[in-house]
Amino acid sequence: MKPYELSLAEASSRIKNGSLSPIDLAESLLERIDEIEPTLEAWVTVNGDQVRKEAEKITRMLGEGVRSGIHGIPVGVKDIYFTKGMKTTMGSPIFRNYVPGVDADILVTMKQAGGIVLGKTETTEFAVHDPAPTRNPWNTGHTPGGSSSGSSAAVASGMCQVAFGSQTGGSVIRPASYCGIVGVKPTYDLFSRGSIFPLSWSLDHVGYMTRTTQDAHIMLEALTGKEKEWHPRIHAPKVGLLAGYFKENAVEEVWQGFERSVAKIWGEGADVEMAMLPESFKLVPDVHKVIMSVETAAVHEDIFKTRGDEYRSYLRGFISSGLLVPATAYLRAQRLRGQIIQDMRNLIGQFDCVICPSATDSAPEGLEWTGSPAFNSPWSLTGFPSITVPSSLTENGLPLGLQIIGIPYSEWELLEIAAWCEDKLGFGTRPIDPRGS
Amino acid sequence: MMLEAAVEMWGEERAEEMRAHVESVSKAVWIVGNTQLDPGTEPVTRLIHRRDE
Repeated sequence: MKPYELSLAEASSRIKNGSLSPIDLAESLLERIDEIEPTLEAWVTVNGDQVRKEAEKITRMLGEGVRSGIHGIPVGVKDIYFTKGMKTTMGSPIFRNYVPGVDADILVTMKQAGGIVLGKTETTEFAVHDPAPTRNPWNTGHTPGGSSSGSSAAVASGMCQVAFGSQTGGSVIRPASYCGIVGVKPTYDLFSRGSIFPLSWSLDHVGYMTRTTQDAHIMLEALTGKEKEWHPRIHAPKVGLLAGYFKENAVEEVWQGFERSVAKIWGEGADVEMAMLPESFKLVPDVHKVIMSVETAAVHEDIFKTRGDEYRSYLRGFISSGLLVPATAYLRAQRLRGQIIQDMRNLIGQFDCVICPSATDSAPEGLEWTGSPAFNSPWSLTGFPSITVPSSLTENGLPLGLQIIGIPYSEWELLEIAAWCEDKLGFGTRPIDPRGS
Repeated sequence: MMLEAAVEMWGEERAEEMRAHVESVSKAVWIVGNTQLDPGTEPVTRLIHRRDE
């Protein structure tokens, strides 16, 4: 097996016991990028020489002891995270030559843990809607989802074991689901958003993607600086099944796939009960839209005044409409948000977790539209942690995901439940070669 | 009302380009604005969940 095919856990373990050097791992990933990047277009910037230099430095540091489970692991970074001395474009021509003087806070943490920036991954324009050129490795005629398009395609296809994304609506969980990998959107404010270009301050989340739940656990340890023993949950969880809104908005094959996954975990002993959504939940899409449109407009207001014509059409319209929203409507949305958070906390607190499909559909055909965030924005709005694990394939061979949601700061427990589901659902965890339509 | 404001701000042609966005956000504003709330309900100004809850 080539190093790029290893999981993060396997690579980390080999680095620790000296049977794999970070230099060899980096070389293998760079070769993999050379091989399939022309097909997938997942990267904006990869500086091979810089990666090799960092890998050599990190290898030398191993003599002083292993810093964390990501020591010597090259990591993909969404191109809205500032990277010191490396171009950061935000997916916009306005920033095509922008080179920040600082690293994003979370990258400082990652580097202290021994991680290496492998390169910058494609994003939709300013992490909103207008698509990146990236293709889905499961079927290159389909979108990988967005806005963390490059990160999800890169992890799924073995160009890296782990990559950072960000989520304001559904930009980590949805592309991870479309690409058949694990996505983690932690509790709001678990990780600093410092020096990441904002989209909507009160909705933005740092997140990441891996191919296995164990890899996600290792990444969480590295980023939080905490060590927790890895043991996929031994006891079957008590699970609340979310239907209503989710059943109404899922395409048929998604809901059927979800029901099959639920039957499987129930058959393995999970205690599955219906979780009735509170009345306030029906306000989620509108409350999210009002907050996001206003905050996005406020983020972009100054640049938009002078360079509005350089924005692509969706974002131009979104900013323009956000500028028109009355202040009272924004505050009212934030007041309703508090009510929704309280109601959802009361509901989810009755279970170990609640579950629903990770997206309304499988990856849509074409690259013009990155799919709907409707099943993810409730957890961006409430700030509750959510994780997707790949669950099954559609008839056309596209992945579907199971989304697992918990109360704030329950990431560790959620990952154990996700690992239990991963084991019972039996979806493969090796990287895939890009497949044509 | 928001569409009228859009015409005033950007002119008819540009406002027309934005029509779908403006209408969609207007609808959300209307729904949010017409949901009853107790005056004591405060806005979420910083979304920090208390760990001890």
